[in-house]
Parts: sequence; C-alpha cells; structure tokens
Amino acid sequence: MIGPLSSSLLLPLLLAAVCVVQRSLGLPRWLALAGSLWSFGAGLMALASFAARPGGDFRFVESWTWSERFGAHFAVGVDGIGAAMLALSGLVTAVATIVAWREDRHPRAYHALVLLLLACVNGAFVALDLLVFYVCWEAVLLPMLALIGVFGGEQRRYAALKFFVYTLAGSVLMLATLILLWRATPPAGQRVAVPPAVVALQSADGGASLHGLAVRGDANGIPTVDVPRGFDVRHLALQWQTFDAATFLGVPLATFGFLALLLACLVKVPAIPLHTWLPHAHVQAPTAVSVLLAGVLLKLGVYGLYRLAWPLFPTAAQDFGPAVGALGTAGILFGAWVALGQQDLKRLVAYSSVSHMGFCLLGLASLTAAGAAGGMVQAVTHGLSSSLLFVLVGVVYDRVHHRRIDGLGGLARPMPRFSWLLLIGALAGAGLPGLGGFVGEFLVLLGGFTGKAPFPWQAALAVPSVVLSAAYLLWMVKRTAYGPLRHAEHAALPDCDARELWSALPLVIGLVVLGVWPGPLVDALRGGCDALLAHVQGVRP
Amino acid sequence: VIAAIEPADGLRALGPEAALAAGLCAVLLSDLRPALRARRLAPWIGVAAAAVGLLLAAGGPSGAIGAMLAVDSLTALARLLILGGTAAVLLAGAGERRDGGDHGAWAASVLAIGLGALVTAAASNLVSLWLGLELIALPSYVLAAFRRGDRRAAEAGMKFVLFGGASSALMLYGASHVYGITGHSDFAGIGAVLAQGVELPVAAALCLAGVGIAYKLTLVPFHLYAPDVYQGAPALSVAAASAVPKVAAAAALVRALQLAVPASFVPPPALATTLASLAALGMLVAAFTAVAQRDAKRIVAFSGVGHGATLLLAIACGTRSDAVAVVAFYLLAYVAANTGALVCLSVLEREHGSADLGALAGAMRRRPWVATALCVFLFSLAGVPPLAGFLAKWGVLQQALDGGLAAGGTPGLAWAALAALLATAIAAWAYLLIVRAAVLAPAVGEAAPPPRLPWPAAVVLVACAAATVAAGLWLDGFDVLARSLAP
Repeated sequence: MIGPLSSSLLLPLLLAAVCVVQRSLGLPRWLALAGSLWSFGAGLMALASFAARPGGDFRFVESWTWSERFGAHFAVGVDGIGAAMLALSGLVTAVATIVAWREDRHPRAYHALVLLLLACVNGAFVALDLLVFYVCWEAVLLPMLALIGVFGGEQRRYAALKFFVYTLAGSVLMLATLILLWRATPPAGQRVAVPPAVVALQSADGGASLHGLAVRGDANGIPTVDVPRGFDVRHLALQWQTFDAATFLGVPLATFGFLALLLACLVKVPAIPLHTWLPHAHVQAPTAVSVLLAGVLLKLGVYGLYRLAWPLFPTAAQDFGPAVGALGTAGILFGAWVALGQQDLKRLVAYSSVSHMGFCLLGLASLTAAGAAGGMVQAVTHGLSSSLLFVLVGVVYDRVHHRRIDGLGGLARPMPRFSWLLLIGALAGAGLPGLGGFVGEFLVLLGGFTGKAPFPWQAALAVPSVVLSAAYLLWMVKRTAYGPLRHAEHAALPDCDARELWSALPLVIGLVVLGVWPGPLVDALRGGCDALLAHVQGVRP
Repeated sequence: VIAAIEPADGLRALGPEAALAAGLCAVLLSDLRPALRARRLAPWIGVAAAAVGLLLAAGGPSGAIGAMLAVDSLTALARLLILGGTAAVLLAGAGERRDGGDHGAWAASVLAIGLGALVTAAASNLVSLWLGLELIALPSYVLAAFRRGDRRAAEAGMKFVLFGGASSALMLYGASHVYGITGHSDFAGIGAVLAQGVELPVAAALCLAGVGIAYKLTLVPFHLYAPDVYQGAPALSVAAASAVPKVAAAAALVRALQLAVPASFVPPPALATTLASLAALGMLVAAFTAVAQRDAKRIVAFSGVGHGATLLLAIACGTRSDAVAVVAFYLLAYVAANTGALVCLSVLEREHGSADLGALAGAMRRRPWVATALCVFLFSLAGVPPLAGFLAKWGVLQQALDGGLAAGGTPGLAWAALAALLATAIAAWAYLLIVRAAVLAPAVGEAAPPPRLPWPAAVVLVACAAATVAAGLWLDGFDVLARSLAP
C-alpha cells in the first residue's frame, strides 16, 4: 500500500513520465501543478499531525525491503523537520510551475524535469534509509543541470557545470562516508544502550519500542535495543559510539565522516567559502529555476546537517560546532555586506540567501532548543521570502529585459501591485516582526545568546546583519520602486497580471501566517529538534 | 583446481565458441555470393550465432579441457557478457547503411573478436591466453582501419598494429621465459612452482607476460594507443573492440590469479600493492588526461583506461567468489554503458560528420532520445546514482576499503580507493564535456530533420539503458553473482 510520503516521491516520477510520453503541450504544466500540490498536501498533513501532537518520533513510516544483505530498505517517514521541508518543496514547486506557466521552449521536457526534481528532493526529505537519501541527493543534480543548462541565460553552460562539479565533489565524500559507516557496523548487528531521555523523546509508543526496535532494560535498568546492520539513519544514529571508536587511515571515523558530510552539505547551503557557484547559477537560471534553487535546493544542505551530520556523529558535532557557527556568522555578515554592493537584482537576492542561510548554521550549531528550531524556521521562511523576491525579479525582467538596479526606478507609479509585493518580500527578508523572517532570526539569535561560549559572541556578531539586511533590501526597494520614474518608457509598464499574482500570493500568505501565528510550525519542529538535541547532548553532557 | 571434463563432453562445453566459429564461417561464405551480399544478411547471421551461443552457454557441462581451457561459473558469466555485447554491436550495425557493402567483413571481424574473447575468458594456459588475445587483436586492427581512404582511420589502424604487435611479442617472449624457468605453461603449474619462492628472473618474465593483459585492459602505460585508435575508428568498431575485450582480459586475469594463487584467494601483499598502485596511477592519469580532450571518442577512450584501472583494483582485492562478483558486476555495468554510449555516438557521428565536441552541437534538438540515452550512459560511466556505474563503483570501493583497512590487510588498497574517489570527481567533468556538447550547446543553423533511427539500433539503446537503470537498483546483484560464482 502506497502512503502519502512515498506517493510524494512516486507520483511526480509517474507524472514526469506522462509529460514526456504524451503529445499535448498544455497538459504538462497542469501535471506539474498537480504533483507539487499533492506533495504540499502530504507535507501539510504530516505537519498538522506533528503540530497537533508534538513529538520526536517518525510518522507515516513506510518500508519495503530493497536488499537483505545490505539491510537497505526503501523506507520513508518524517518527523516535524521532514514534514516542514516536504510542505515547503511542494509549495515552492507549485509557485515555480505557475511562474513558468507560459514556458514555450520544450514545455514537455521542462515540466518533466521540474517533476523529476520534485521527486528527487522529496525523496531526500522523506528518506529514512541512507542509501535512498544518497541516491535522491545525487539524482537532484541531473534535472537541475538540465534546467539551468538548457533553459538558462547566456552563460548557462558555465553556470550549470560549475554547479554540478561543486556539488558532485561534496557528494563523492558522502559516498565514502556511506561505505565506511557500513564497514564499521558489526555484521550481526549489535546491542546498544540508549539514554532514557532519548527513548522518551523519540519513541512513538511511550518507550516500548524505538524506531521499530524493541526496547529492553539491561541489568542496570538502562534501556537497550538490538540494532540490525543496515542503512536506516535512525538506527545508525543509535550506533554513534561505534563510529567514534572506528578509525579510517588514522583519523577517527566520526571526525572523517562528520567533516565529509559537513562539506557535502555546506556546498549546498551554501556556506562561505563554498558559495561561489550560487550567484552564477542564480543569474543564469530562468526565474522559475531560481525559485526552485533558492526555495528548495538550498534547504537540502541544511536538512542534511539536521538529519545526518549531527545525529550520526554527535561528538564530532560538539567538537566542530563552534567552527560551524563561526562559518555561519561569517556567512551572515559577508553575504549581507556583499549584497549591499550588488547592482544586479538576482545577485543581490543570491547573496542575501548566503546571509540568511548562515542563520540556519548558527542555530543548529548553538545546540539550544530555540536555536535548532529557529534554524529550521529560518529555512522555511527563507524558502518563502527568497522565492517571492525571485518571482518579483522575474516580473521586472520579463518587462524590461534586464535586472540592473540603476536601470530601474519609480516603478511604483506604473506597477503599484508589484511594488507592494516587493516591499513585503524585502521586509520579510529583513526580518520585520509580523512577517515570517522575524521568527527564525529571533529564535536563532535567542538560541545563540543562551548557548555555551562562544555562541553568545557569534550571535552578538550576527546582530548587525539585521541592520545590514534591512539596508540592502530596503535600499533596493527604494531604488527600484520609489523615487521619480527614471526611464520614461517605463511609465507604460503593465502591472502584475493574474498569473504573476497567483505565483506571489501563496508566498505572501505563507509569510504573513508564519509571521503572526508561527506556533504550529514551531511546535511541529520542536519535537524533532528536541529529540536531536537530547541525542547530541546526551553523548557528552 | 577444476576437475577435468570427459573428452566426449568437450565439444558440448565449448558450444558458444563453436556457435560463433560457425557463424563466422557462414558470414564469410555468405559474403562470397553477390545475391546474399546485397541483402546485407551478414550482421543478422552474426546476431543469430551469438543468440545460439547464449542458448548453448546456458546448459553446457563445466570443467577443465586439457590444460588449455577451463569452463566454470566465471567463464559462464563472461560468456553472457561477451555474447551479449557482441550481439548488441552486430544488431546496432545491422541497421546502419554502410557504403561499399562491407557488411560481411565488418560482421566477421566483430564475430572474430567475440570468439577471441570467449577463448581468452576461458584460458587456463599461457598458450591459449596468447591465442585468444591474438584472435581479438587481429580483427581489431581491421575494424580500426575500416574506413578505407580516411587518413585518421589509417593512422589508427597502423598505431594499433604497431602497439599490438609489440605487446604480443613482449608477452610471447615473457611467456617463453616463464615456461623455460618453471617448466609449465598452465597457470596452476606455474603457481605451484612460484609458491616455492619468486626470484627475479621469473618475476621479470611474468611482468613481460602480463603486458598482453595490460594492453587489453588499456592499463597505464600501455594505453597510449587507445585515444588515437578510438578517435580514428568508427564508433561502432570502437564499441566492438573496447568493452568485450575488457571482459575477456579481466576474466583471464582473475582465472590466472585463482589458479596460480589458489590457497588464499588473496594476492600476496606485494602483488596486491603493485596492482593497486598501477590501478591508482591509471585512474588518475586517465581522469586528468580526459578533461583535456576535445573529442567525444577520445574521452570515451580515456574513460576506458580509467575503468580498466578500476577493474584492476577490484581484482587486486582478491579472487574469492564475492570479490569476483564485484568484478563481474562492474563488467556488466561497463559493457551496458560503454556499448550504449558508443552506439549513440555512432548515430551522432554519422549525422554530424565527426565526434568532435564542437561538431556534436544541436544533437539534443535533432535526436532528443538518442541524446538523452547518451546522457544516461555517460552518467552511468561517471558513477552517478541510481545508475549501474554507481553501484559497480560502490562495490569496488567497498572491496578495496575492506582489503585495505582489515587487520593484516594491504593498506595500499585503501589509498587506491581514495585515489579512485578523486579520479571519479575529476572524470565526471570529462563526461560532462560530452553532455555539454551534445545537450547544452545550441544548434548551429537549421538542419533537415534526421531520418528515423533504424529499429535495431533503437532496440540496442533501449536494452542497454534498461540494463543500466535496472542494474543500478539491483543491490542484491553482488550476492546473486557471488552465489553463482561460488565453487
């Protein structure tokens, strides 16, 4: 029986095949919309379940055996974190589909690629098996390569290849880690002790079982589980001590694996100094692909850190946490500083992404409840706000065919609706209270200030970025939408049409809802984050 | 040690070889009759012969045939791949319109390569090994120079002949010394003598004898002929002369190690380290050189060098049945992806005039399905999941790390695994160069719509793509192959 999560992976795949096989040029966009709304619905439903009954367990679990010998399963399931990501990817893909509603270059191939991308991304967000995760994570590259490389701007080939090679280099390290993890676990499985706090938070049935394994007390009453050999990420996390003890070429496996996963994920996030592919990719990508890139793909990196790097290697995560926090802080400041000097609207939003995604790193690294949940909230709201900004940049570009800020100005007169939307997007990005962006940044800074040293220092350093981001975003709005009409021919520009409003409004609604009523999302995320923190902090209190 | 086969069963055990030999004769005879020649039957006769060979391979007896050939589960797997690869190339060639009606000579050469590969894969003796390799080599020279009047093809053929002749001579010279020193030419006998101690003369002679296999696996530094030959020869000829011979050479190397070092099935550390270093060198040289190429077939050539080196690393890890299963899986992935990619390139090359990267522009617009299939094969060769090449590489890396990190293992294997990872990342760029040229580069001008793809070629592409995708998801493949290879 196929459940909501596996269907959010399989349905887009099926629809992609239909797109290619059938002949109509108008049908594919409807199929893409259907596929993305379906996964949005599945994500919302899962999110609602976690909001109604918060917990750190995994729900909607489905599992089919893939290989007995490798203990590999086609296993899917989500906690609050995965559910939020699934809903986000569905919503953003729906928006991107509406943005590209009138794509007339190879519409069948285009929407098939978008559906393929959605399937891979969803697969990574819901996978419980490391092999499934890895396959999806890697497979994301192929549709993205084609989407940028075929449908992009003038330097699209250079941008596409740069994107591909950066992320592939990270993935190769992840592959090495996968094999080493498998090697490190004993063939017959092993019995491991689990701290009672972790059992309490992660068990779905009050402590009788943990991730499908029966919990028994040992002689001292400490809960233990018999973990089989395999690739289930939840089971691998329970065996962190094994990875601590193993070595690879003289380096503890935990250190090697953590750094390898960290690198693979930081490329996608992207954190400085691995961010240089992002501005190129954004500038060359068409609007809808920029939306997908900012709204969904960057989140894969953050999600990989939450789901893999921190749980599998908790001791290394504690050791390297301050360094990751420092990278995040540096990215926050550097991205904002560089954004201030950009003349190209897309590059500006791209660098603001580098800045805003830095908050996710800082929040997770601080190992506080507020920080970890805030990092995920930031990931969601950044997905909405940056998508909105890219949609609006696309609106301008469609009309004036360039993106230079100095070639715009006074657009509020011919395009009032556009200007309102741009203002909302900028304010959300700048973290205005009442809009989504505020919640994440506030929680992350709160987490940073309440964390152990050096996180309060890092949070303090990150605070000025709030001013910087308000500066570059609002200055951009001022130079684009307000002031006198700089170019006479812009006076006749048409305002946003229905399609453009349809693509922007879902994001605006999302930002407003999360801004005034973030409770359900935070509740849903908190369960997963608390379980993660209990696990990581339990290893070295 | 393989039990001897009853003399009466000998011919039945060699059914596939007999079928290909009969097919070869039939092709040559049919080529003499102008009426048959005009109907371009030759490739179809070849396909039929390979199909019969596959049928005969399924039920034949197994055992050693004298001290010359060994028919066992390893041979059986190699036969499947060799016959499948040969049939695929012939089928793809059957739909091709060839000027001058050279179908007979072409099909006969491809069949002869297949026959030579079958003999090589079953060889248990230096003499039969040499015979098999020569049987592969001679028709390969013909295929390389097949386009008469084309200077590049002539150069390719000449280079092939010179390199091939020199390596054959070296190998024969080494083999004669091995025989002179040990008194044996069969692998088991040589191994028994070597077990009492390896001295410098015999080691040197073995190195010389190994040159033949190194040449077929295009191992660095015996790879230099490959890029020029690949570039000059038609893509379909390259398909015939690249994947199938690699299967044969890898099987022969495995068999030689199995028979010569029977006790542990793990090569002694010195040998393993040597093989692993050669493999690491080959992978890195191939990857770094491939990114500098500007011709799709040259890139495929260097990819062949890299994959040959990866195979060597897999073989260096041991010859237990589970280790050989990894080799077999790797060969399966390589044959499917390499044959598929070259069939695609053959179609594009014919229509665009050359396989030069610049000339491939616009392939996506003219032939979207062929270009897409080409991407699938290239990504599999690059090792991108969920395709077969990824799983194959995974198997080799796991094997190498196991061998390198286990207590008492050979650390060189683990270092070679790291080199393989590095080479994978670099080589991916080279494959991307082809993808960029064929898919992303804009078409120059408007070309007439291409003719329909001949259905046999389409069948081959679909079969190769299906195998590439299905094998990529077949995690249990290693186990299934290991069980079938278990003694």
